Order: sequence, then structure tokens, then C-alpha cells
Amino acid sequence: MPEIPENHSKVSGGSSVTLEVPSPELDDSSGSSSRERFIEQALHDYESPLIGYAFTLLNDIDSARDVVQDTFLRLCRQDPAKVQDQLKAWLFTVCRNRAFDVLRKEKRTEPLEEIHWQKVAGPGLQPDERLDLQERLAQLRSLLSHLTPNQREVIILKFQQGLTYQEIHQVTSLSTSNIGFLIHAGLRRLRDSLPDDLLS
Amino acid sequence: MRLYPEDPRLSAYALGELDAEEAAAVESAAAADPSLQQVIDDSAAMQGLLEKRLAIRPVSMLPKQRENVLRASQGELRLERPAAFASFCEIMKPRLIPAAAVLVLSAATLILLQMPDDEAPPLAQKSPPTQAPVAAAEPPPPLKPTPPWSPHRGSVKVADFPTFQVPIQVGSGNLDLIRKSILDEEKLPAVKQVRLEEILNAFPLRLNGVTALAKRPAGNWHPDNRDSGITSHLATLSTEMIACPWKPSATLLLVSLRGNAQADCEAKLVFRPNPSTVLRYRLLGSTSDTGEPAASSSSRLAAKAATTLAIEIEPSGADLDFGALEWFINSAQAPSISLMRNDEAEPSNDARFAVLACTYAQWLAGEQVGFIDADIVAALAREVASGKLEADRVEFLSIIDKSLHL
Repeated sequence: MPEIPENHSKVSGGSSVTLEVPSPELDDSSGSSSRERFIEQALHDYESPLIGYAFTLLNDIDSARDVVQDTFLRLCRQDPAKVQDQLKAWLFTVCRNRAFDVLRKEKRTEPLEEIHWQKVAGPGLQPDERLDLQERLAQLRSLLSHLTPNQREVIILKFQQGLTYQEIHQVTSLSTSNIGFLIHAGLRRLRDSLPDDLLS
Repeated sequence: MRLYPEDPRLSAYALGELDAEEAAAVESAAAADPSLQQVIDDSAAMQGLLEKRLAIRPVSMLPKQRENVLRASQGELRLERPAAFASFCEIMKPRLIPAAAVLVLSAATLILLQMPDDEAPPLAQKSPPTQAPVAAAEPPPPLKPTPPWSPHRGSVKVADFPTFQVPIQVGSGNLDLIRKSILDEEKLPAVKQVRLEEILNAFPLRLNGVTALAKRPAGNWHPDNRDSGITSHLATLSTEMIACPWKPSATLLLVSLRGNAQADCEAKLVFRPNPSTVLRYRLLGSTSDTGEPAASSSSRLAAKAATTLAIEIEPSGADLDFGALEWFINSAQAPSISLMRNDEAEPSNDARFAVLACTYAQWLAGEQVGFIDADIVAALAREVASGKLEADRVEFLSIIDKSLHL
């Protein structure tokens, strides 16, 4: 029985991903099994996005890496055939749950508005690159800070991580209609307070 | 369908979230109402802006974490897979790499213990040393001992050179000579042609240790400039310290200096070893045929340019506080970096790669004979090959592989 993430049980559909259907048997001359290739492909596709996402929640790159390692270790215990169709949402859900576990353990139980999401675009950057980025993003950050926590989370999942409404629903348990409202209202609020030259 | 600008289906349409039927309805409504079309256009523009501004640079787990995942994917009964570097796989299984490295390092240690205190590498014995200027040392020592960048390429005592102005050679990266000689002509290059600094700087390196930024004076920059492309930072100095593979008692200090994206600047870098903890040090490479550091008089750091160098530090005891790096940009002092080595820190992939480049270059140049041989180069290459590699680094490993078989 595969381990189903807490929010995953509510999923009824979802977008497909382009991973092959693996089985644990050895199936090529190199000796690697399709399970290994499944995990390697998942690492290739989602390692960096997941670390970036975990970093937005934890504001600590080491903790983010630990959470993502744990996410992939949990993936290794799953039957690939049962998670592959919704792999992206599965990974983000487990990653999100694990990140909140870490926050709870560290008694950092603040809601999302307390998350230092300002460094969302910065993990892995050299200090000078981070400085440049921070300066360029300063105006945008000040605008995003006016969004509600839910608006901010769905906007990050949508525009930073490229999740669909359906995948955001699977990760956050918010309904797709609610997600639509949150994104629409969030974009309009951003647009109204954004200088025209920044938009262009 | 009657729509209002507040309807979330407008942004959902712009983001491609609607099915065909709903999308057609929105298109129809927008065609009849310019205000709706404006909302759609704004949503699309915001999508482009946010995707661009919130983009994440690629970032990976630590090598050990990645290895844990890959091993878990293989199941507990599976052995580790051999390194991806094909020809090295034939030599040895990765499980044997640490053992081989230990053997090599142990042998090097034994040789080291038998060396005289002021060892002179064989290269220096073959050709008469050129009298080199000592402008880099301050104050000038009375007996003018060999500076770190002389043809002797031997280390100097801290007592003789309490500070060292490091030559900054931006734009020195070049692998053409090595590539042509080994891949095209199938022979090792002449030792005099080998430039460690060219090989080391042929690859962009991101060091993971202490980093300092040089910023413009507060009066010369204003936050309002942030969207004009002008930033407050002028240059970046990054460091990382890693165990020296050919001399177990020593530490390699890797230093990377990088200019900002907009403007050139003048840079000066000074290594100030801690005399109570550092016995000797040696700048790797940076030697011209005449014995003078190539372009040492130039300290121009061009915009976006970067240079990396390595200093071998031999401690006098167990204390790992090796002193400081002081640096100046446009004559203004930038925050100095304290060189405190954490020997439990996991070296970055780039630091491992830099060590491989330094070791290989010295092997090609016939330096540190007795310390560096083909086995240690192969062991380091296998270690690097077991990780994720960019195409240029894979090619470099191929060059090393071929070098070892010539």
C-alpha cells in the first residue's frame, strides 16, 4: 500500500507527467532498474524546484535540502506505478507536509504570513548574485507582501513552481474555484499597485 | 456568457486553465467588452513578470543526500553503481576509491616526512632559478627567499613572507593547449607550457566557503538605482578550504574574485597568514617562463570577469585559524575574510573539481613529483566523476583519462 500524503487522499484527478511506467525489475544492460530510472528522472525534474519551494517555507537552505531528501526517500518507498500519474503534486504535497513538520518541531508554527518568503528566488545564489536579485526584486517584494498568505502561496506555487490549479488543489487542499479567486484577486492587486514601467 | 472584470475565469483563461468550452465563452465575452480583454492582457503580462522575477536558480541537494536517495532507489541489497566515467570504471569500483585514496595519501605522507624542510621540487632542480622581483612581499626580506610564484614553485616560510600580494590574472582560463596536445596530437604537453592557472580558470567555479562583498560607498549609490541595472556591489571574494590531497598535513585555500555585471574595477588581494599557526604557504601556478607572475602588475578586474587561485597552506600545529585575506577595490578596503577552516565541512563539488584541476595541472607540469602521481590524479577524477557534471567538465575528465593512458 503506497503512502498517501495527507492532502493527497482528496485528489480525484490531476495532470499527467511524462515519466515512464517503471517496475522494480532489472531491465537494461547497465543493470539499473526502472525504479532507479524513475527516481533519477524525478530527481532531475523536481529536485531543484522542490528545494526552492521548501526554502520558501523554511527560509533555511539546509533544512530545505533535508526536507527534499526525505521527500525523495519516501518516494523510493512508493510503488512507482501508483504515484507516477500525479508525481509532481505528490512530491510537492509530501514536501509541504514535511516542511510544516519541521516548522512544528522547531515551534515555528507561524502561518504563512510569517514565512520569510522574500528569499524565494535566492537559494543557491552567490552573495553578489543574491544582492543583485534582492535589489531588483525589492519593489516586487514590497508588493507581494500586501497579499494574503493564501494568495501568496498559490501565486508562488503557480508562477514559481508552475503548478496547475488542479495540482495546487492537491498540494494545498484549497478548492480549484477558491484557487482561481485567490490568483485572480492576487494578480489584480499586484497589477493595480505596480508601476507601468516595471510591468513593461 | 456575461462576465465582469472580477470574474476569476478571465485570469484562468490567460493562464490556460480553462477547458475549450469555457475558453471559447471567455473569448467571446472579451471580444465584446474591451475592459475584459484588458484584464486578460494584464493577467498574461503579470504571468510573464512573476515567472521571470520568481524564477529559481538550479540548486541541488548535497552529494551525500543525493547518494542516499539513489541508494534507496536501488534497494538495500544492491551494490553501489560504478562511477559514470567509463574508463575509470574499468580500473576500480567506487567502493575502493576511499581505500585507494588513503593508500596514496599515506604514501605521500611517508615521502613528506622524509623530505628536507626546504624541499625544492624537481622542476626547479632541472632549470636554474630566475631571479624574480619580490615586489609582492612586504616588507622585503633581507635574504630574498623564493617567493611563492617563482620557478622553484616551492613554498615559503611565513617568517620570511608575512604577507603576500596575490597576483590577479583575470581572463587566464584556457584549455586549448592541453586539449590540442592530448586529444589531437595524443601526447602530453611540454611541462613548460602547462599553466595551472589557465587550467583552473577554464571552468566557472562557485566556492562555498566564506564570501565577502565590496560595495560602493553609500553616497555613490541609491536604492532608486536598483531598477536601472546599477547595483551597489562592486566585486565578490569567495573562499573555500579543503584538505590538500597530495600533502595530507596541508590545506588548500581556494579563492575566487569576481567583478560585478556593470563596471570594471581595480582589485588588490593580500594574503596575511597567521604566523602562529601557518608554517609555510605556496601559491599554485601563476608562473611565466621568466619566473615572474604573468600580468602581476595588472589588477584590473573587468565587469563579469572572475579569477580563481589556490594557495597551499602548511600549518604548524592543529590550530585551523590560518589568518586572513585582505582586499581592496578601487583602493577602498573591502571586508576582509578570516581564514578559519572547518575540517568537518563537506567540500562543494566545485572545490573538489578545483582540487582535481590543480592536481592534474601540477602532474602535467612535473611539479610535486613524489607527492603527485597518476594514481592520485585518477582517484580524484573518479571522485569527481561520481557526481553530476556539466559537459565541459565531462570533457575535462576525458582529457585526464586520455592523459593517464599516454
